[in-house]
Amino acid sequence: MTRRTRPAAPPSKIIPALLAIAIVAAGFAILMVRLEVTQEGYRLSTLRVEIRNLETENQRLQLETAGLESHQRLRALAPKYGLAAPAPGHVVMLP
Amino acid sequence: MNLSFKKRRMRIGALTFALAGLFVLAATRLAVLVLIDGPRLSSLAHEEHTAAMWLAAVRGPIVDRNGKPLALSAETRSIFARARKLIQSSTATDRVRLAQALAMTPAELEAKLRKPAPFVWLARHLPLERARAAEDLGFESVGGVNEYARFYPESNLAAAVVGLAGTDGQGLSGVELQYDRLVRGAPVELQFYHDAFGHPILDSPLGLKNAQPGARLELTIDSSIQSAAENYLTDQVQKSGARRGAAVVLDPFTGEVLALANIDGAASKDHDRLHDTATQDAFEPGSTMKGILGAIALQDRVITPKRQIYCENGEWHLAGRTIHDDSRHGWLDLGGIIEVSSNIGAAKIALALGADRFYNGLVAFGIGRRSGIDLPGEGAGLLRPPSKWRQIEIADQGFGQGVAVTPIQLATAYAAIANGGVVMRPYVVKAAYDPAGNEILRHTPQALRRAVAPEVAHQMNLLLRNVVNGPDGTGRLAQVADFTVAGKTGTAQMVNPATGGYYQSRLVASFVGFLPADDPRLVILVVLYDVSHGHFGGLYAAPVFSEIASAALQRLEVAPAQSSPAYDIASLLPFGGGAAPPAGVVALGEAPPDDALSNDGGGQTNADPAPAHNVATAGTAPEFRGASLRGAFAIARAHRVAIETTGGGYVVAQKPPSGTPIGGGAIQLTLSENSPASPARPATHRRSAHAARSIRTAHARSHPRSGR
Repeated sequence: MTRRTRPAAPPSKIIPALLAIAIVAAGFAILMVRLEVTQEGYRLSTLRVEIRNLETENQRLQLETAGLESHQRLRALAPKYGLAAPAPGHVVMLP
Repeated sequence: MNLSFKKRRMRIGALTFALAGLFVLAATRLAVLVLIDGPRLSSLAHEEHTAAMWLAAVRGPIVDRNGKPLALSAETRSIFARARKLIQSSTATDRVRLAQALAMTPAELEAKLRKPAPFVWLARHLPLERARAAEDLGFESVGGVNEYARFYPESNLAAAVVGLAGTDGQGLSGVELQYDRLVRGAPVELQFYHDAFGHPILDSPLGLKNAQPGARLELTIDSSIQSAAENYLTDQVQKSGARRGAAVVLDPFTGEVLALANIDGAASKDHDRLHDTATQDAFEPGSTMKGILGAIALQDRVITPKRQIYCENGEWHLAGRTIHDDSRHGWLDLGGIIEVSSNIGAAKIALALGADRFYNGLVAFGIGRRSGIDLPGEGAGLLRPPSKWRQIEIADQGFGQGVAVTPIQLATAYAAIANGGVVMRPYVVKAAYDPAGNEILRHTPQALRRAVAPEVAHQMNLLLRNVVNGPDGTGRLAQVADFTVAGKTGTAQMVNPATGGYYQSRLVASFVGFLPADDPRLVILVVLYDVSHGHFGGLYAAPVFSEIASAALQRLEVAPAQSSPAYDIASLLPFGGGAAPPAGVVALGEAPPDDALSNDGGGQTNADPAPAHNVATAGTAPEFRGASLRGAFAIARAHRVAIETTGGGYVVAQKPPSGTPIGGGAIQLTLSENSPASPARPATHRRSAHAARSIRTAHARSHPRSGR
C-alpha cells in the first residue's frame, strides 16, 4: 500500500510583502513625526524668542510711557499749551 | 597523560579563578565609581567645563497709591571683554572705535582693559541699540549679555522714599533697601561653557534660567501730592535762601504718608536718593512744641483752657537767664499763649508740669522715639532723661529748645492731636503683590498708643485754629480758601555744634497743621532749615503749607468744610445780625485768671463759618452774590438750604434775594465768569477774604482779650 502525500504549497509572498510595507510605512511615519517634532521645536524656539523680544519691547514701552507721563515733564510742557494749576475756587468739590 | 591532564585542569582553574577575581574587582570598582563617587565625579566634570554667573534679577516695580510707576526694571545689555586677548588681537585704532561705540573715552577703555583680570565689564546696562553697535564691530573677545536695570521714570520724585537700587540690583536706600527681600526677586543664573583655558563662551546654549521677578510694591505716596509738595517747597527754599527743606503729608487717621519731600537748597533739582531729611535729621522744633505741651498740660490737668497765665510783658528772668517773647503780653490763657506763641507762657506751663510729667507726655507723643516708619535709618531725635533736666531746661523745652525731633515725629505727634489723641505708626508701603498678582503683604493702620484723651485732643484742635484764624495768630498765611486750618508755627535757633550754643541768625522755620479742622484729612508739616533771621515759620513755612494743602485737597477731592475758629466771635453771633453776643461769650477774657472761658469752644465747632455778608435769619435766603461756586455750596451747606446753579464762575444773581423768605424750594443762583461786583476773579477772592478777615478782626478787637 502506497501512501501519497500532497506536495507542499509554496510559501505565501503576500505576508512578507505586507510586513515589509508595514515596516516601511512605520519607518516613514516615525520619520515624519520626527520631522514634525523638529519643525515644531524650531517654531517653539522662534516663538520663545519672539515672546522674549515682545516682553523686552513691552518693558521699554512701559518705561517710555511712564517717562512721558511724568509730573516733571508735564509740568514743563503745560505752559506751552496755556495750561496751569487751577486757582482756588476754580475746582468745586460737591459735598 | 593523566598527570598532564590534571595539571592542565589546575592551570585552567587557576586562570578562571584569577579572571573571576579580576572581574569582581573591576565590578566592585565600577560600583564604587557609579554608586558612591558618581555624583561627586559628575559634579567635578560639570564644573570642569561649565561655569555660572549670577546676574541681577528683575526687580519688581514700585508704584504710587494710584498705580503710577515710580521705579521700573527693563532689559539692557552689558558689554564685557577678555581684556588680554583684546589687547593682543586689536590695534589702538580698533579700540578707539570700540570706545566710541560704547560712548566712553579711549583712555577710559584702556584703563578698564589694563585691569589684572581675564574678564572685565566694559559697560553695564546699555540700551540694546548701543550695545549692538559695539558688538557689531566684530571683536572676537568682546561679547554682551542681557541684564535688567532699574529706572526711575518720575526722575527725582519721592527720591528718598523710593530710594536707590545698585548696578547689581541690590537695594541701597529707601524702600528699595527696606523691602529688598521682596522686590529683588531671585537672581538670574547665567550658565555657560568655558574653553580649556577657562575663557567663557557666553553665547553657549545654557543661557538664562531661574528668573523670578520681584514683588510689586504699592506705596501710600500720592505722586500728585508729592509733586506739589516738592515744587512748592523748592520754590520757597530758593526764595528764602534756606539750605534745605522738608515736607511731610500724612493721613492722621491711618498714618499713611501721602508725601515726604526733601529739597536741597544747593542743588534743588538733584535730590539725594540716599539721604532722607524728613525721617533721619533731627531739628529743634521751636514753638511747634507748644501745641504738644498744651495737650500734655491739659491731659495732666495742670491747666484748663480757661486758666490765665501772666506772660510778664515779654521778658522773664529765670535762673540767671532771660526768656523773651516777640511782643509784650500780660494775662493769656492757653489759647492765647498758643495763638501769639508766647515763650514765657509756654515756659511757665512746662515748669508747672515738671520734668517727669512733661517727659512722659512727650514720650507718649513719640518724641525721642523712632516713629516706626518703614524706611531705613530713621532718627530717634533727642530727648534727654528728665533726671538731667534743670529748671531752665524744662522751661526751654516748653518752647521747643533743647529737644530735637525729626519731621516725621513731629507730624505724627500732630496727627495724634488731629485724630483724637492716638499716635499712629506712619508707613509708606501699602501692599506688595507677587508677579501673579497675589497679595503677599498689606499694611493696615496701626495705633501705637494713646497720647491724650479725645476731649483733650479736641480742645487742642480748637485752640490751634486760632493760630491760623485768630487776629493775632502767627500762622495766618497758612489759611486755605474754604477750609479751616488748625496748626502751629515754629521758629528755632539752630544749634552750633562747634560751641554747643545757638547761632544768632540761623534759624529753622516750620509750620505744622491739619485740615479740615472739623474732620482732619491731612496733617502737613513744612520745615525750612537754616534760614536767616526774620524768616519766621509763619512767614515762610505757613504759605507752603497753604499751597500744599490746597493741591492735596483738590487731589483728594475733599469738599469744603469750613468751620469757625475757636474764639472767632463773629462766628458766635446768631444768624440774622444779632449784635449782642450771648452772655457767656461776653464774659470771655474779662475775668481775671480763672475760669473765664465757660464755653471753651466745644459747642462752637458746628457754628457757621459764614462771613458777615452771609449772615441770615433762619428761613430767609443768605447772600450768595459775589461767591464762587465752591463758596456758594459752602454757604448753602452752612445754612442748610438747597441751591440750584446756572452757569459758571461767580454768583451774579439769586432768587429769592437775600433776607427774603426761602419758601420750600431751592434758591436759584446765576453764575457768570464776569461778576459785575468782581470783575477780576482772583482780586475778588482776595478782596472778599480780606473783607471777611477785617470783619472778624473788628469783632475781635471789641473782644476783651484783644489787648494781648
